[in-house]
Amino acid sequence: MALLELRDVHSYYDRIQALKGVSLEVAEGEVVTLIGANGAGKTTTLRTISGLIRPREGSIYLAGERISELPAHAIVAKGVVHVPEGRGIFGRLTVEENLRIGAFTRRDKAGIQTDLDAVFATFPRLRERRRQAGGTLSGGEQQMLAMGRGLMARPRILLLDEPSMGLAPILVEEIFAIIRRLNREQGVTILLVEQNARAALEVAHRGYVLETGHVRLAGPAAELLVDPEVTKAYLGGEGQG
Amino acid sequence: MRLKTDLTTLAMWAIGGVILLAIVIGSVATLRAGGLSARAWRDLVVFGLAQGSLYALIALGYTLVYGILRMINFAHGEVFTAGAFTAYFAAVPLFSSPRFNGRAGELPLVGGLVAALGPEHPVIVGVKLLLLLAVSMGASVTVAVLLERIAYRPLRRAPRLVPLITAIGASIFLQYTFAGLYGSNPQTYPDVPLLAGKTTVLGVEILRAQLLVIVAAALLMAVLVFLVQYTRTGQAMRAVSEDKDTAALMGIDVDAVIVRTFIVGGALAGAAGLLYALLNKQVHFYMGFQPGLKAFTAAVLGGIGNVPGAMLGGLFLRLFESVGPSLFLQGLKIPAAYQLKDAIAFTMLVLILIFRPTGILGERLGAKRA
Ligand SMILES: Nc1ncnc2c1ncn2[C@@H]1O[C@H](COP(=O)(O)OP(=O)(O)OP(=O)(O)O)[C@@H](O)[C@H]1O
Ligand SMILES: [Mg+2]
Repeated sequence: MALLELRDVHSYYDRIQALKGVSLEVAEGEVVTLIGANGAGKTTTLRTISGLIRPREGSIYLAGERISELPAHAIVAKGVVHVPEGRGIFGRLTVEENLRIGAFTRRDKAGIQTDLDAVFATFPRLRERRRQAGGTLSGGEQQMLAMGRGLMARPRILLLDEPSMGLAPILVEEIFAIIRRLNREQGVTILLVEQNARAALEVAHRGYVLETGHVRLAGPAAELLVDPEVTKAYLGGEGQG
Repeated sequence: MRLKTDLTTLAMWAIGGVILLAIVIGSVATLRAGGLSARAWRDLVVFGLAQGSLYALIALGYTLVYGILRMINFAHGEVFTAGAFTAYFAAVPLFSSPRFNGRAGELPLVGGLVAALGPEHPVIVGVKLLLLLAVSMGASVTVAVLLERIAYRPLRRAPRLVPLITAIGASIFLQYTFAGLYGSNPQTYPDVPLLAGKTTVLGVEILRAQLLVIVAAALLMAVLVFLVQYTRTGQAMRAVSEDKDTAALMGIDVDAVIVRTFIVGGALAGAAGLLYALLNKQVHFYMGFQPGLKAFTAAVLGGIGNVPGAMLGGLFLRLFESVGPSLFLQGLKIPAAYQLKDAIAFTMLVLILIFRPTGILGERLGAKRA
């Protein structure tokens, strides 16, 4: 059984339909990427999974349990953790407060401390800046903080929305290396939304191509990487790999 | 266009400058003339501090709700009234019926205890005051929570003007509900033993009721700062005030946090209501209007949305109102200076908005919303 499953999900912003029947699956231990042009509905898909938007039709299941009726905070408590587009750092909270609030649903003090140390080990720069206000971090540091904060929830599945957006190439590489390590070494299941399709397909096991609210293509990442349609539409201008 | 903006700014600074100059000239003239004794000044300051701590407590309610919902809860003055006026009906029996004052034995246990210790024993008076506080806070919290649930929550996604107008409507609705339920005549709180008269603290003479107000308000504010800074609820409140969606993604129940914010603001207003009534004795159905407006002014002065700002704003505003007429209005030979304290409050507001539009401790709202 898939860890996360979307079945024919339709989502709207008032009267504007953004998702027109999206179905997808993520298995335990996988990295699955969701690629597509601007406005295709990638962010909307993640917001629907995490309960910020309620699907008007269709259902979402976590390990077989229907979660699409639950409020957002209850979905987080089930282990579905969404690192939003634009990072959503609390600018007036310190770095450490931001990380601790990521563990808001947890009560195990000792475990939280262990995870805090683990996050600081993964992102040493955050440790140096732990007492600094989140809003004063650079873009790259904020992205690390957002990912670290997501990990503090001990996610069963991590939803990442464009973690490489706006970062310098060297940082982009670092972020993808971290994603790979989180998955391969710590076994974190990840649904990754990316503009940077080539890098995303290189780190992912499988991929979905979204087009105006539909799943256009789906398959193993290695196949999508050489699919002529994908190459033409999404990998064309991104030669650096 | 550019020139016009500059002219407006210039004019505003000119107005501000003239007012400041008048304050300085007036103060110097007063001090030269030596109108009031040192003792009279001190009394004015103590009075300002006591009333100012009440304003601070009320202002906190405006600022907490604004911080979370970016809306002005214009019915907050009525939340304050609810506490003060409801507690009146508990205060009358507690402090003037013989049953609770040790002169009759209808309630054997309570009556016996009161008779044994005497109705003026500090423990008895203290317990009664705590009971009143519970009634007052309970009533205010109830009204605050109902307001949120019935009037504001359905409008969470409406344009910002809509909840504002609703709040004004709710304020009027509540005033006349109190008038209908509790009567439209002013009522006088009974005398509380031990609170009458003066006492001396650190060599300063002070009304006992004022002392109680200052101490209680300081305690409540300390508790609030602790709550906001160090508890889970406080952390959740700060997160929700920055970004509701992201807060929800942290597993925070945003609606529950909003309700708690109204509870905290309501509890502070309820406490302020009781303290106000103990200090000023009178309660009536529109008693919350004036303090509400002033406290709102104080919250804006301090920087709306900012907790220390509301405390400072309340103290500062009332201190200024209290000392101002004697200090600079008399020096300027303005007749009936004491009638003008409201003018002082709103002049301060204008001054602050000219020189520091974000309030004393506030951050730039425009930039943050963008
Ligand atoms: N708050 C909103 N109100 C109305 N329409 C919206 C809103 N957010 C998104 N949309 C619309 O929904 C569609 C899908 O948007 P979405 O943000 O999911 O795209 P995306 O694939 O994440 O794009 P990008 O790569 O630019 O982030 C778009 O047509 C967009 O205009
Ligand atoms: Mg997006």
